[in-house]
Amino acid sequence: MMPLLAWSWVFTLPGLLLTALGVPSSRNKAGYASLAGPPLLLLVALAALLNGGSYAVAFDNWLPFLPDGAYRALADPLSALLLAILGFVATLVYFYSLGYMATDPARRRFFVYLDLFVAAMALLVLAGNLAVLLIGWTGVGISSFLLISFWRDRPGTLSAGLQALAANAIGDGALLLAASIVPTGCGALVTLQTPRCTGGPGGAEFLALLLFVAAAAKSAQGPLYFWLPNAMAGPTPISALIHAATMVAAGVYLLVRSHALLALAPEVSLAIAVIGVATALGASVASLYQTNFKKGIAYSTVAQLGYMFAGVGVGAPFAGLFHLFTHASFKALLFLAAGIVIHGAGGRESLSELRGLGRFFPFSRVGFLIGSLALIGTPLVTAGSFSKDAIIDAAIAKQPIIGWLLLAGVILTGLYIGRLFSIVYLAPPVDVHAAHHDAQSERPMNWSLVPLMVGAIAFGWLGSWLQATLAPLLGEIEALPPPIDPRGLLAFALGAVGFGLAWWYFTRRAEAVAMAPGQPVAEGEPTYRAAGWVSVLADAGYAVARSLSRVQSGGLPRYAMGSFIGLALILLLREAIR
Amino acid sequence: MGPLFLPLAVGCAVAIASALGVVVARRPVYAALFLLVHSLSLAALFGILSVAIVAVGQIVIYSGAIVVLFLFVVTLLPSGGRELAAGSGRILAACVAAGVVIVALAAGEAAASLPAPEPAPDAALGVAAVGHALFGSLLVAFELTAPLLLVAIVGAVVIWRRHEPTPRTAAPTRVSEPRRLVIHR
Amino acid sequence: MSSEALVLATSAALFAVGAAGALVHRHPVAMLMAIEIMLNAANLLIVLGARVRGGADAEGAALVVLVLAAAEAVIGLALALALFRRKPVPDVDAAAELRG
Repeated sequence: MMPLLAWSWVFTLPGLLLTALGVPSSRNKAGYASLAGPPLLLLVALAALLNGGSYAVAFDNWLPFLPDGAYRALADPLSALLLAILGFVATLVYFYSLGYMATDPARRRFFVYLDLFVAAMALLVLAGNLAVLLIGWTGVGISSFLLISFWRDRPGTLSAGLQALAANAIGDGALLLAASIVPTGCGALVTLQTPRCTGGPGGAEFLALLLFVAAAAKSAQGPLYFWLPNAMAGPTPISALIHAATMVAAGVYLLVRSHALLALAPEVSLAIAVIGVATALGASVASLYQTNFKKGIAYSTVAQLGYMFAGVGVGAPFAGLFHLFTHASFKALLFLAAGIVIHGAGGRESLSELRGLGRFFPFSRVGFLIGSLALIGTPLVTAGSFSKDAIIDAAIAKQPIIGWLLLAGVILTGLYIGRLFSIVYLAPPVDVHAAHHDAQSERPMNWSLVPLMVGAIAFGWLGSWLQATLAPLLGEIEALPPPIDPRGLLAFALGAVGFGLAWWYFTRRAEAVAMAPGQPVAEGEPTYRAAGWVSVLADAGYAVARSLSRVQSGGLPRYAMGSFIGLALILLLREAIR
Repeated sequence: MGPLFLPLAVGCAVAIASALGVVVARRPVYAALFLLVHSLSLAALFGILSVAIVAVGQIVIYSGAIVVLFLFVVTLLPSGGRELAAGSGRILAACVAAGVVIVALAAGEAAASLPAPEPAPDAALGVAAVGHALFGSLLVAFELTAPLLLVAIVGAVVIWRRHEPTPRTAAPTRVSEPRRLVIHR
Repeated sequence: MSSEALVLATSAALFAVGAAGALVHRHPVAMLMAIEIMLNAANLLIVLGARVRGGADAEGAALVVLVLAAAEAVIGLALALALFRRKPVPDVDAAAELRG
């Protein structure tokens, strides 16, 4: 089955052609030809995963100007797992889109773009060397742009798509540089860590750094996070497919694939872990201040990707991969459930307009609840706890500060997802007539949530089987923590506290959408007043800054004189030292 | 003192003299012409040192393009290049800085020992060898010069268009595109 | 003095001349020409290094520096011309505010 899997990226191309050419021709059935691709991908991937083995394709001299210009594809259990995830979520998103885009005139174009994305993502996963990886990488970037800016008549979608392209360009540049500087013949991903292949300029550290930059751009980590919240301008199904489950996971996949190379560059690994945990905490806080429903969930994706990066960075690639696996199902579940409410409210996405409307969509409410519980890591019942506890355990064992920070961050997770759930699904509705039900389009949307709910609950139990299957590829893997253990319970307790706090706060206050400490509650109540010593500190800071700012006078001659004097000093010092 | 010393000495003297001319010249046209002599003298020095392709590059790119560009700008200057006189403080500071730099570099070179140069065979510095270097170990730098030049061109155009004078005619002519990207159906 | 020391001293002197010129002149184009002299001095040093020790790699680097000088001259002249919008006799000292 592996040889078939190695060519599985072509599976959606016939659907792409047929849909683009207008088959089937009736408007209502637009896109039906594309529906066969992802399930086929899922079945082949599952069969390959169960059968095991691996298969490599190599056509030499395909791009002769690169150091490794062969076309290489590699089908092994790791790529089979990723392809199974892709097939699973893509199948459900395709069916969901039949309902979500039922009335959209551009539905045909939508399915064409979706097919393009699935093909490019499959090629990325199956890539055996940097050149083919780069093709898949840019392919998903382009289809992401096309899908984010899908609705051409709405303001802001094009600029959001361009932002995604900008971040993608940075990642593509880093990957292209990596593909160019490896020594000749050395581009295969599985051999990047061999001494022959790290002999290029900069050595293993530079190569690892380039891969890290590429992964960070794709997974919206660190300073390159900005495109993901804005990518919510696209339709909700693609937010679920691309920006939650698969494309943003490509960065994590790349780091897991090259984990042996990262082991050779401990400083880069530490940087990955630090950026991961910083992004996780920062994005969690940012989610609390979002007034747009989808952006709140998008920041959650950024934060969870930070957890995965932290897992890979501390040297536990399987933990990061496992979290990728479970996160795909519950994050897609959250997005698709949100999409049902948004669709029912006529496309409105802001929290103040959606307030309380969730209660009219029972499938969505149950789905979002299950997704939230999985996100905060409810042990036994949901899958999120298995993977998140694995990351936290590995982090505490290897880099304790990072581990405890991740553990503490779970309370923020509970807070932000509890806030979203409470405002949309629990609070009293702002306008009872704002929700429209359309049974025909809702049926596929509702039922496509069910497999995701099952996944969010059950996928955690597959952990040990996955570990056994992937052990030969990922080297030594630490044992997964048992389903119930003290640290896991502590994490869950923190998350539950956050969730409960948000529940209490947002269902009490009728108008509250944002938690904003320090704002006046009502007129007449005293505003927050700072103590005397606070203003003294502030004034001192201002004075220091003002005196230092005089150096920046803007006068060019002064700057030039400064640099020459500096140069002269350096030269003289050099002589003095010698 | 090798056999190249005399030609090198002549070239260096011309280079320094013309550089002084650039700095000291009263009219900017004279300064630009001195710059031309300076760059040609450097091309001569490069030629004496047997780096053929850099010498030709210096003539074609530097003298032929950059200095000519300077000449164009100087001749298009509306004010003829008059400039405000520099105060004595600036001249003093400049001399001090220059003196310090010379002293520091001289001290450094006195202490450094240069390896005895073997007369490099022309093949080692020839065009083919440079080609191998540019497409081999210097590949990244070489490729990056392309976006560098693109950025320079785009930057120059952007800087110029930002400072276009507003048209004073009653009917405004469209001199520039609106800056925001608006897609119309 | 050996040939190499002569060229080194010339390079240092050229750099100092260019530095002095960049500091003294108040006209942007004159300042740019002095900066070009400094660039040439550095390039001369690189070429000397290629001749003595570096070989073709250093020669390639000298070519790249030439391209750099071209790009820098373009942008510098564009900026200098932008200063002419303000006043017909431009003064580098007066352009202390980044505006527009």
